[in-house]
Order: sequence, then structure tokens, then C-alpha cells
Amino acid sequence: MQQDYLRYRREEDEPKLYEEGFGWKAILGGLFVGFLIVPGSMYMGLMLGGSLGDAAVWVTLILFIEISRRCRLPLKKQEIFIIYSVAGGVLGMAGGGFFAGFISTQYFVQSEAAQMFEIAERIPIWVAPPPDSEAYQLRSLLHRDWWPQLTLMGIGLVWGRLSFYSLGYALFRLTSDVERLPFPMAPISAQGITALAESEKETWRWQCFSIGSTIGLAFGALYVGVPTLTGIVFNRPLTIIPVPWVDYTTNFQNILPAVPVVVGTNIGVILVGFVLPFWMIMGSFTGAVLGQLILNPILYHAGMLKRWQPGMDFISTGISNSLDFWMSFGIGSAVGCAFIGFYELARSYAKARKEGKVRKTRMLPAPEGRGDLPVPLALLFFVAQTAFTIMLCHYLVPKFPIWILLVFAFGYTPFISYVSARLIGLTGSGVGFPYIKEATFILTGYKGIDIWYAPIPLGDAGGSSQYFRTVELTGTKFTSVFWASTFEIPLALFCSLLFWSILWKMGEIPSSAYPYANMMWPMNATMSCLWMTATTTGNALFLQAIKPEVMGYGLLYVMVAYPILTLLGAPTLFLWGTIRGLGGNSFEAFFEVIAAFVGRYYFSKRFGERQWFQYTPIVAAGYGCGIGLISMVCIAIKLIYSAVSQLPF
Amino acid sequence: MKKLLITIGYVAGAAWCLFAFIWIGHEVIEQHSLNVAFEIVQHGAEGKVRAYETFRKAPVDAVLYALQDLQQEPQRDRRMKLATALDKLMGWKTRQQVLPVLKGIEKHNRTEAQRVALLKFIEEYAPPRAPETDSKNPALSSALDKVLGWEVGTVSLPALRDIIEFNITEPQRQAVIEFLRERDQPSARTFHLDEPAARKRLFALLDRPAVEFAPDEVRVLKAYVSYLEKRSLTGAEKAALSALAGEWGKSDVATRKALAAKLLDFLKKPEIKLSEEERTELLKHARELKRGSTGTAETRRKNSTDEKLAELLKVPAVELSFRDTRIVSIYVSYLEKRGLSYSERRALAGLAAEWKTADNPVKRGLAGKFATFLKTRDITVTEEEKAVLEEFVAELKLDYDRGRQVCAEVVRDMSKEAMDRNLVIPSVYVGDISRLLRSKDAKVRESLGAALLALGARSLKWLILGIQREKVSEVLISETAEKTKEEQQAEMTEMNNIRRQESAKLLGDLAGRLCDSFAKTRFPSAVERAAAEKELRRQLESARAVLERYVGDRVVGEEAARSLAAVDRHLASLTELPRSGPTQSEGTGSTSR
Repeated sequence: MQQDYLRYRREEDEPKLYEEGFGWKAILGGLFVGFLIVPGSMYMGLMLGGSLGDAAVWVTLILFIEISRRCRLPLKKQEIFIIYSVAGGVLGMAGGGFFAGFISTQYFVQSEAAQMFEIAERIPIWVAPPPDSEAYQLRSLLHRDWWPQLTLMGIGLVWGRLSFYSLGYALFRLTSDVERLPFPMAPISAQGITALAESEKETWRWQCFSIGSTIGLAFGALYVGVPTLTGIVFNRPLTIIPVPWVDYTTNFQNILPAVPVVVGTNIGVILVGFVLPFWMIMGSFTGAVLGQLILNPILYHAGMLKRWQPGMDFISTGISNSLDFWMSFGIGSAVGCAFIGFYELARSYAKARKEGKVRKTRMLPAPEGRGDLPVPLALLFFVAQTAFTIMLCHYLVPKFPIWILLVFAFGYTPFISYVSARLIGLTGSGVGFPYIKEATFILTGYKGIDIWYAPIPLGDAGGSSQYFRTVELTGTKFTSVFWASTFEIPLALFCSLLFWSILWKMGEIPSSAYPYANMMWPMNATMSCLWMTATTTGNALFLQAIKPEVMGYGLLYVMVAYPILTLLGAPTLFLWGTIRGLGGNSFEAFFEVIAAFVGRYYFSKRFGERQWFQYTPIVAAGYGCGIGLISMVCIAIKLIYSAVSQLPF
Repeated sequence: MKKLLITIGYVAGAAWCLFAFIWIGHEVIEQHSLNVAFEIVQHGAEGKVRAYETFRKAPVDAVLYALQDLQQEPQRDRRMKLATALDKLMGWKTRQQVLPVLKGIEKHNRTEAQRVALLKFIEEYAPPRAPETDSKNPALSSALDKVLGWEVGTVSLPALRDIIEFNITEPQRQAVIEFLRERDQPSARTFHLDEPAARKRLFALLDRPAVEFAPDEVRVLKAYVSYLEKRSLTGAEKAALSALAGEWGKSDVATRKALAAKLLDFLKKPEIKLSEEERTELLKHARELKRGSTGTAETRRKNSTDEKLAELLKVPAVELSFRDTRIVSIYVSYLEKRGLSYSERRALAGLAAEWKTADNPVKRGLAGKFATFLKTRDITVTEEEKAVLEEFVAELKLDYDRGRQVCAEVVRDMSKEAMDRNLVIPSVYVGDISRLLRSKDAKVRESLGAALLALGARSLKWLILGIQREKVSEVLISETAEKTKEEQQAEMTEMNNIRRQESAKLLGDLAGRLCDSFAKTRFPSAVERAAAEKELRRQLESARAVLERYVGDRVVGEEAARSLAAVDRHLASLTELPRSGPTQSEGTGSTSR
């Protein structure tokens, strides 16, 4: 099965020429995304929980390609890649980063959960202003009470630039230039860019994209448009389709005790069923039915789900079941996945050695004109940046043992990054030990909330090596990407501040105007509090929720199921699917599995398997684009309305 | 050019790394010295003077480290681990006899000998019970609160909306005013509605013609509206209310029967109108529920779990009710927690090795017993051995307590040092000091109280919060590896009460301290003096308002009354102060309690 993913590196695919891609077109692309797409994406995130993500990036690309064509200034492959990179970067940083963190923190500090768990008053001022701060009443992101956070963000941004040519780059040079690992997933983005650059006519891609967009527009008009626009006119928004789900948990509580019964109303689930591999969906469905529908009532009757009580809704049921069983089970199965990742790494390495795919030569000189730096300098940057992070972390949390920070920074991080980079280079997916940070906080006996927000120098740079490989495959100079990412930061910062400020000034976040945030943020706040109580009370619910025997079951499940499936020759994706589904929603999985069956047994036969799997991601991207466009239109109307209407408050 | 840039990169990177690692090295050494210094002072070893010198080099860090030690759970301490293990060993035989008895009761299968063993156990080891003041059915209690508040809510919610829409009538406005006066709304805290000044402002605005409302005033009202909207019943509350309605439906009392029907209607459609009689009945029931002596099927029974168990033993084995099973299972889990954990077993093995060569023959004998116990899980301790063990456990606990007292002294001394040197201890750590006032050790509380007084006005907010924390949050009470939920609840409630009392006491002292400091400070101008006086008055007024609110409180009433008198005295004395201060400026942290 693994060999399906393992595409060996062919020298003829290597680019012969590297060119600059950063220029005024990329700047325009960034401005387009920053000022037109970002507000829609923010709004959509609050309304529906997603973001415009890839859809917006592809829309930007298509738009710029078309404009360039009309202007007889066709875009080069490198320019397209940089626009792609800048658009994604600005959208990610402005929509989900920077001031988005301030908004979620302001909610958390004022949340009922933080009050109940007695956490609100313990949050240090460098994380958020205290609960009684004027900044919350004025809903201002530039209030002086936010200055410590702003300062920290600024410092992080400046030093963060060093991380570009850092450990990830050094690992890329090692695993790609020296070991010549294939990086099977890297060509996907690169080939998409290449295809766009080479397309001269409207092709099937356009048709697929248009179909997806139309579905997205039509559904989005009902799902997002109606509640948003009626919310402007009436006191309460009119919701034709409940967002994001319809909760039947209490209706079924006598037949299905402790089962969260909810029907998702976003048809995006169906598209997910089309896109994801069939066996992963099957595994997910099996896991969801087995875990949520069958196992939950059994566990309840066996006395293992102690917290659930009749009358609990979907969210309360999910939280209580998670505390009683699924959180521990998830940790156990995640540890199992990590072990299997290491095993696969060793097996792939052994296999590659046997087949002579691993080269033992010294480091090859970097290709001419790629924009490389000497590896020792990259490592020096890594050390310098990490040392700074340690200093900052120690300054903010002076009680935490520095030796642990040193071990994390110069021991664990390089080790796991290398292992992960190799695994990504071989199989396309990395590896990691779950909850290592959390476990360390608890085992050291640290007391305080600050540690959860401290910049702990712990990370996995393995993913960066794949990114450098993608850049390389598009023939773009690394320096172009560096300058592009340097340009993204101030732009994203400005857009993030501007639009989050406007949204916050318009009303409380979350509130009934944002159904998804209104439902999910309280749950997320409760879960965060649960983690944090582990370093406050010492008898936290979290510690109570961690049940070694249940973790053992999770580990055992993965360790037993993996060899059995391997022996039977069954796809291991099924196993990963079951892990995804066990703690998930069985009724959402039901829609996914129907979509997967229809895709496999109808559309695949009609269009051809290869063609169908090329269509689906584009249809999904089109759907995201359509629903995103509706969101953008709605937010625009709402912004205009807020700007021109006189309100007494 | 590229080579030059690369060279600059190398030089700059190397220079920064050099600086960074020197700084990190210095901090590592400082952290290590502080840890060593704490080891020295806590274990009574020589070198306390040098340890204090280390603390003085970094007084703020010393405070934080001491707080870190003070916040640790006892079971993380080596001495306490051993003490707990020995405690458990002393009661081991009884535990071994009683545990199967209880498990037998759970399975409705017990013998006469088991009954006797259990009665003996009840006499000797009664697990802590939940305090009587805490509700036995929190979901029902909060549901009833909401139902009782609903009536007012249905009047007020439209009225509030009308106010926002500038369309109110006089009776509506009166209803709102009445409602707001009755209510104390924690969810509105972010809007400062708990602050007397803010509430005053709100009442004032409701008395004015509606059209004059300022935008922020309307926002305050909107906060109330959203608060009222949030008062719908949760699933658990609905279930509890439904159970109560079911029970009252069968009642012979007419009021209860009528209430049952209304409650069922309310569950279908959230509207309710209660007669005065019904309201009184519901209120009475809600109060009883909070006192833990309510009449629902589940909670009507006696609160005393051991009495209940003894009662159970007198009757033949019968089908146990849910409540009975729960009582038994509390005991079972209590006893199961009296088993030794891995770390306790290791501590015991260490002690066995140490006592093997002890001069005292009893200790040598015990060492052998420990070793056997670790293999067979069986031990019997003679009276003589028990005496030796008790003495040793007392020593261990004393040593542990002494360590904590020293840590608290470090907090006190270094807080003063920091204040004298104008170093800032972050507010969250001042909060940590105030939370540690819950300590059962009076000496620890005394030192921490002195630290809070030394920190002056910065402690005020935390002391006020300390008094207001009327009960321990339900979500924080949970079963641990060492304690049952009931034990936790009892202990946390007791500690919270201690904290509240200490906070109330300290508020009075702090008021005196602030006034003294003000009187001794020389201000460069009358304007500055007036500003400082205004600020001091504001602080004293806020302390006064809180103390006044708690004068009749069951837990802190006495302390609050004393402190209130002190604050009033100081407030009165403020006006009598001379207009020019002394010649030398003195800080708030210059004197100790």
C-alpha cells in the first residue's frame, strides 16, 4: 500500500534553472488577498468554523493569471508560485494569526469557563489584559493594556524571520541534497502551479471549479447569506438551515444513552467524502459507529462514562465522554501512531538501503542560483533564534527549569525534526510524540497558568524540508520566497489589526451573530481550562481524565490492529480512519460514507477512476470558493451597513 | 557582496550566540543557587545566612520559587509521601478486613462477622463528609433558582428591551429597578456591575427619562439582557426539575401538586407565573436543598453517611437503593485509596533499608515487617510499633510543616525586600500569595499575611476577591489518586473558609497600613496630595463596601465586622490628617505586621 505513495525521485524532474518570482505582481496579489479576501475569511471562520483557505488562494491565482493574460504579460511559473505563497501566507496570518489570537484570548479571559475554573484572574498580563480591563469594554485592540502582547508579537515577528533559513532548511539540504529522498507529496502543489502556468485554454479544471463554485454559491446563499443579511435588518437573524448542526442528543437519550446525536448541516461533509481516500472514510465510519454509537452506551452501562446525565446536549455529552474515556483513548492511540511512524521510518530506511536508494556521498554542492546559504550558517541561525526563545521564555516564566528548555531546544527538537523530515521525505507524513509538552509541565510540578502561554522552544521543523523541496521543484529561488514572506508580515499585520478591530467594534465575539463561534468557543475554552487546571489545583479534572488503563486500550488497539491489517494486506488507511472516527461524530461520518460509496461506485465508473480523483479536489475547492464569495459579499454588506447607519451604541 | 553578507551573518550570529549563552548560563547558575538555597533553609541545614544572601540577589525570583514550593501538593514531597505510606500501614489491617465487607454489601451478601468488622471501622475511620452547607443536588438547586428568577425575568426582559428601544412605561421601569436590586449577577462582572459606583449609575439612569441614555449606558443594559437570555435551563437542570415535578405530582400537598404541573408546563414552554404560596414553597425547597436537608427522594435521607451505613447493617440484606449503593461505593473508594501507590511503596522500601541497621530494636523489627509487607501485602503492627511509627510520622509532618513555614517567611522577607528596592512582583503572584492564605498552618498564614501587607495597595484587589469567593467551584472538586471527591470537597471548603477569614482580617490591617503610609508620605504639592488622598479614599471605600456586604456572613461575619470598624475609623481619621506630611518619604512596605 505504501508503495502507492512512494514515488521515487527522477533526475529529469529536477529544474535546471532557478528564477526570481517576487515582484509587483506578488505585491498586488498580497494586497488583493489582504483587503478583499481576509475579512470574508474571518467572518466565515466565526460563522461556520472554516476559512476560505485554499479556495481563496486558487481564486487569486486564477484571477491574476487571467488579468496577466489579458494584459499580455503572462505569469511565469515562479511568479505564480510566489503569488500562491503570498496569498496563502497573508490569508493564514491575517485571518487566523496575529490579532485573531487577541480576539480568542479576550473571549477566554472573560469566559464562564475561565471564571469557573478560577483561571481568568491568573492569566499573566503579557497574555491578555486582566478581566476587568477597559480594553474589553472599549473593544479596542490598541488599548494600552494590550501593549505587552503587542510587544511580544513584534519581537516574535522580527526573530521569526531567522527561522526561514534555519533548522528546516538545514534538514532539507541533508535529506534532499545529500540523501536524495523522494518527498512524494512535494510535487502535488508544485504540479498544480505548473499546470496553471502551462494552461492556455479553458480546460476541465475550469468546468469542475465552476460546478463546485455554483454549488457553493447556491448553498452559501441559504446557509450564510440569509442569516447574515436578515441579522442586519431584524433583531434576530433568520436561519433557514440551522448552523452548524441540529442537535438530537436529548431526543435519543433513552435509546442511545451518552451518544452525541447531531446532524451536521454543512454539505461540505459530502465533498470531504468525495475527496478523502475511500478506505480512510470507511475506517472513519466504522470507528464512529463502533465508538460513538455502540461503545458509548456500553461504556455508560459499564459505569465508565460517569459524567454523562440525561438532558445533556451534544457539546456537554462530548465533553463528559471525552473526560471519562475518549481523551485517554486518543492519547493512547496517538502514542501508538508515533510508534508505528518510527517503525515505518526504520522499515523504509532498511528497504531503501536494500534497494540502494540511500546515497552515502558527502553533501552535494547546492545547485547554482537556487538562493542557498551555507548549512553551518543556517544552523547558526537556528542556535541564535532558539537561544533567544529560551531567553524570552525564561524571562516570562522564570520559575520553569531552564535545563528542560535547553533539552527541548537542542535535544528533542533537532531529533524529532530529523526523524520527521526523513519520514516525510520517504512517505509523505511525519511523526511526533503527542502531549510531550503537557506531560512535562505536569510532571515538573510547575504551578501557574503562564507556562501554557510561554514560547517553549519545542517544535518539529520536518515539514519545512518538504516546503523547500516544493519551492525547488517550481524552479523558484529561495531568496524570492524569503522576500515574499518578509513582505507578507507587515501586510498581514495591518489587515489583521484593521479587520479584527472592525469586527470586534461591530459586536461581541462570539455572540449570536456568529453561530459557530458562539457554540464552539465555550467548549474550546472549557477544554483549555481542563488542561490548565493541571498546573493550578494539582487535582485537576485533566489529571482525573487521564486514565492509564484507557490509554493502554488505545495503544493496544493501534498496536494490534496495525499488524493484523498489514498481515491481511488490508489498507492501513483504514486504521488511521478508525482513529479519526472513534472520537468523531457517527452521523457526520454517515454522510461521508454515502458520498464515498457514490463516488467510488458511480462517479468513478462514469468518469474513470483517475479522472474522478482529479475532479473532486477541484470541485471541493470550487465549493469553498463559492461559499467564501457569499461570505465576502455578506460581510461587505454588513460592513457598509455598519459604516453608514447611525446606531445609538 | 554575497560573501560579505554571509560573513556578517556568521559574525552577528556567533556574537549573539555567545551573549545568549553567557546569559543563559548565568540564569542556570542562579536558578540552581536558588534551588540549593531553598533546600538549605527548608531542611534546617547550616548556611541559612548564605541562603538568604542568595535570595537577596534576586528577591522577586526568590518569592516566586518560594510560592512554587508552597503551592505544591503534599503528596509530591518525599517526607509526606513516607508519612502517608506509614499512616496507611497503621490502618492496614482494618482496611483489609473492611474492604471485603463493603464489597459484600455492594453485592448484598454479608456475614455477621463482616457486620462487626464494619461497625468497628465506622467507629475508627469515618471518611470526611461533604459539608452540610453545600447543596446535594446542584442541578436542581440551580434550576429552582432560575425558575424563581424567571418570573422577574419575564417581566424584565421585555422591559429591558423596551428601554434599549427607548420605549418604556413607568411600571416597567420600576420592575426593572426592583429586579436589578434583587439580583447579584456574576456574569455581568465584566461590565463592572458589581462595582457599587456602576450599579449606582445604572439605577440613576433608570430613573431618568429614557431618551437621555448614552450609548455606553445602553450597552450596560444590553449586558443584562444577554445575561437574562442565558438563564435558560441546561439539560441536567431540566432533568432534575422533571424529576422533582414527578415526585411532587404524587404529593398530597396541594401546593406541591400545582407546582408540579406548572413545572412540567415550564419545561415545555419557558413561561411561569407563581402564586405567592407557590413561590414561598419553591423558595423554601430551594433553601432546604442548599442546606442539604431537602425532601427529594434522593436527598431527603440523612446526610451522615456513616450513620446510614450503620443503619444498613441492622437490617437484613435487601435490594440497595441508588443512594445506598452510592454511600457504600464512597466508602469502597475511600478504602481503596488507602492502598499504597508505587512511589509510596518505594519510599517504604527506602525506610526499610534505613531502619534495618537502626539502634532501636522496634525500628529494626519494623524494617523486617516493611520488607515482608512489600512482598505479601500483609502487615500487623503492635501497639509499641504503632507508637514508634506515630512518633516518626509526626516528626516527618513537623519537618514538612517547618519547611513550608520557612518558605512563607522567605515570601514575607523577600516581598519586603522587593518593595524596599522598588522591584515589582507581578500581580498574578500577589494573587498566588493571597490564595495561599487558605493554609491550615497558622504560622504560614501569618507570614503570608505580612507579605501581603508589605505589598500594600497591590494586595487590595486580591484580598477583596478572597472574601468574595463564597464557595469552591464545583468543577474544581474532583476525585484524585489520593482522595475521594467527598474528602476533597470537605478539605477545599474548609481551606476556602480559612482564606476568606484571613482576607477579611487582613483588609482591616491593610487599611491601617495604607493610611499610615499616606500620613507619613511627604507630597511635593497639594495637588498631588489631593490626588493620593482621593485614590486612598477610593481604595478604602471599595474595601468598606465588600466588608459591609459580609458583616452578616456565617463564615466571615465576625472578621468582616471588625475590619469594617477599622476601615471606618481610618476613613474618619483621613479627614483629620494635617495638610503637610512628614519630612521623609516612606513606602508602604517599610514596616511589618
